[in-house]
Amino acid sequence: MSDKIHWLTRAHYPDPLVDYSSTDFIIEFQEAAAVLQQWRNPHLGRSSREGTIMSMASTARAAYDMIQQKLLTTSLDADEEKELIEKVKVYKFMLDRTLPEALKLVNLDQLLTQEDIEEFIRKHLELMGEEYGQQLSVAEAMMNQLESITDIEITDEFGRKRRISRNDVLDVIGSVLGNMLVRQVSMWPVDDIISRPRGRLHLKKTYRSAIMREGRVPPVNIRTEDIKVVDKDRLSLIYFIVDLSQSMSKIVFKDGLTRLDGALLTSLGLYYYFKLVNRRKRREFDSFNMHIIPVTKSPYVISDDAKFEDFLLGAEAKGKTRLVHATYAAIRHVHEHYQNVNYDVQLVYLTDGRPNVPFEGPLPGSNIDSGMESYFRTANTKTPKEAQRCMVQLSKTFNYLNRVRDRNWNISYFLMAGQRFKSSTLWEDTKHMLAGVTNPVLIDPTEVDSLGRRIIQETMVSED
Amino acid sequence: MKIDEQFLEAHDNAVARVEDLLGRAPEDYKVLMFVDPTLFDSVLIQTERAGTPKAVISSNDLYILQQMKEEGFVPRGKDLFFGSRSPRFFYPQEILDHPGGQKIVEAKLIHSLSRAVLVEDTISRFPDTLKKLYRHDAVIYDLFANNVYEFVMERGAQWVWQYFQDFTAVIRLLSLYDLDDFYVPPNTIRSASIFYNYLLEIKEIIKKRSEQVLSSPLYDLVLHGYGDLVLNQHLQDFDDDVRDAMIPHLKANLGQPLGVIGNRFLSHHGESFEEITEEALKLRNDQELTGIWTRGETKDHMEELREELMNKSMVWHSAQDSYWSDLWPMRGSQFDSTRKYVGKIQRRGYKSFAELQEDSPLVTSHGRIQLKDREVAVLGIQEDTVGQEQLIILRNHLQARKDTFSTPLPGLPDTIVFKKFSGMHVASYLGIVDKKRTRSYPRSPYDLPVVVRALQVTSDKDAYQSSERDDEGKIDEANYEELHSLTEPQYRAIRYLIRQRDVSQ
Repeated sequence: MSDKIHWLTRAHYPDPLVDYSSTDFIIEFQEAAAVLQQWRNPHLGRSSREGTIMSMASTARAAYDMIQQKLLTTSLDADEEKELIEKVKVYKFMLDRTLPEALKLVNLDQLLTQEDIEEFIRKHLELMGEEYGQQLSVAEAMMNQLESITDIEITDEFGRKRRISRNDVLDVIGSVLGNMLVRQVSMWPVDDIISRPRGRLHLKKTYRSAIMREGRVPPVNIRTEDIKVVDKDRLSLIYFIVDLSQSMSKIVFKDGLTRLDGALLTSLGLYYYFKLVNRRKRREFDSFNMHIIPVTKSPYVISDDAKFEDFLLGAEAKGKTRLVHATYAAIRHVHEHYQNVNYDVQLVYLTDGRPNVPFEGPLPGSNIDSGMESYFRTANTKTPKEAQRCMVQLSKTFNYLNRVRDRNWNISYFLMAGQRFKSSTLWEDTKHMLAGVTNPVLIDPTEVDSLGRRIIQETMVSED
Repeated sequence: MKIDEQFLEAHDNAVARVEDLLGRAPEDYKVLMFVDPTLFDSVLIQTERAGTPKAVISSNDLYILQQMKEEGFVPRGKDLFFGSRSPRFFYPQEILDHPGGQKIVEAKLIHSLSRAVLVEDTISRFPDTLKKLYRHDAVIYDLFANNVYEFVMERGAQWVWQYFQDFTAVIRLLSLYDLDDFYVPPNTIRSASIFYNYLLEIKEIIKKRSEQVLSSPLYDLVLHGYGDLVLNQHLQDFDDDVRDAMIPHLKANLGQPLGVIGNRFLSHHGESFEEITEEALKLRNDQELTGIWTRGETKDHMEELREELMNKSMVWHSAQDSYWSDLWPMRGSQFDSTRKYVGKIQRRGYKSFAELQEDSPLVTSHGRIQLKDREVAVLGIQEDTVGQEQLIILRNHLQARKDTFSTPLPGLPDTIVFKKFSGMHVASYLGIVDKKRTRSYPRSPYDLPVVVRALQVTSDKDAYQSSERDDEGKIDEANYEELHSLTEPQYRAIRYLIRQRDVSQ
């Protein structure tokens, strides 16, 4: 063999285009918080959107040059040539017309939402059709890259900036934040559903059935007809009741996060957590049917994703806290839309716990004595009278929901506050309000990652 | 292996043929065959982008090139020829299965071998320069790799790879334009850490490299023209129908403007083929090659060549119906840019790369803006090596302080960079927000609160008026007097960006 000829493999010659600098990218809570802030303040996300267009321009320029090189030097068949020619044309059009205009619109905050971008792409596809006298087959797929304008810029652990798609961020928020929240508050309707894999024996119900049959505790034996299996395919309705009142605008968390930011982040985390669970289960229907009820002057129900994102983008903290009204809206929504189906309902409150507008009208359970009125008579509390009336109403409603047999009603009550809140009388009042129903949970979303770590550690210890 | 024997045979035939044609064969060359064609793709596009196969490229380039490879835009038909004093040819193993058969492989080898003869024996400095560049790049690469290794191993600082990579690539670009003076470290700091040692060392080598690049003679026409000449001579000996069958397979070798134009000049440097070869070896640069004709004569020849190429090039394309509407215009404009290059050399007598670069610089400095608490440098960069990410590291270099690195050195100030992408004219601002707000212990030079903005520069006077926020009179404190060679829309963009810097903090 001639000494002039050398056969090289990757072992002899390292690939110069391998990126050794990239490390695994893990999005942390801080990033999630930053993402939310960017969303809610377009000004903050603008530089990321501009950066996206810049990098698209660099890529388009490189592609434009390189495709020309390829056409002029490499033997290709007719189809390949035609496809490349079309691509060159699209890149040329993008460089000359689309990207400059996109950048200008981004500068002016006029290219923000998915709809804006889709509209923009449609317009430019038409313009391109006019310019070249025909619709180029590759144009649409290439122009759809512009959708990445909604990508979000976050930093890795060394502060390097990366752009990742909005959906990826939401998935991460769902799996990280939502998972941790769910672990802490046991939102699962544990008593009869889902907590065990398919086909597992449901002990509690099985025992109960045996006891009912024999009429004695403990039962002597358990027969086949007593055995109850976990019903996996049940459906739950989840209502996030998000407080948007004036008091939610107070900054109580680190990094300048307000209570509202905390509440939105928590609902975001849970919302996408359940979405993720829905997707993983791959059933014909979703196990969790989610709704959001903003606590506004006249509370309404949001039940689709696009509107949910709009809500996150536009939510402002103002006005009074009509928590009872929102609760009523949720109950009415369930009765109107799911009257004949026995779905479980989970009401998730995200609030600062200061309801101040009592409900004027008939509420379910208003004749129940929940003990809340007598508590307020005797307790030495600083809670204002209005709030007291609201809490009495809520307490009665919760007790009613706890007792009705038509379906399972579960309640989770998240308070956006730090640990210091536990020494206040409002905390005691809230605990009384929820007595026998559930426990209030303090949430400081900025601490969620450390809590998560603690939970994992504790789980590991108990397993030993 | 059968396939090896085939290639060996083709190689031996090609060497014999070159010896036959030129009376000599190259000696110090190497043929590098890439078993993995995607590895060849990487080497090809990286070499075209950075000059030598060993050059460290910026992360920006890396990202773009990776994307081009994924999209399948690599011009794989090109033969990669590195014309240093010891020439290297790079081929993907695929060419052994070339549909044109062994004759085509032989022709491709003859094309490279003839250029190898030229670069081995020419009196021009060009091959020496290329060899030196290769050596510098190899040294830089080794220094880079060793230092990064040590950093990552010792301190777990994964960011170092990207940081050093970008630093090296950006300094390499800026030092070509004498703009790297923002970073002038004292020699005493060398012993402080391997970090400084690397930066100082690398800067010195890059400086030497830049000198080599700038003094490099313009030699492309001679080199490619000679290859074209010999390959055409080789094809002469075939019967017409055999030759006609071969030409379509030699798309990358024949019909490239550098080769065709160079060939035309060369073939008038002597009567016989031997005479031309002897003359070619005596040419120092393209200026000497093109000096034989006046502008008028050259223009006639160029017109004739363009016409010839227009009809001839059709054999290289299969999409015949798009030839006149799309493909020829591309070829035509490629030819025209080479023609312009010839024009510049003839009219202005350019001999070296430095002169050509001065004529149309990729990087220009437009001076600085004085603000109350800082300076903002205004640059024009028409190069993709440097993106915003790359400037960040230069900017951050001095701001960050930590155990693993800290530097008392002056660095690049805040910058505004103008860049054109075809119809897109962008002004981007990069700066660090107030020192009060910088964190005391950043995790890396990347971990600093930065303001990054990009703006479409438009001639529309009212474009950004409505979105301006109250700047609380800060704008009046900016001094724009030192700026020069900027257009009115560019000034407007600068003013807007300076205002934006203040409001986005």
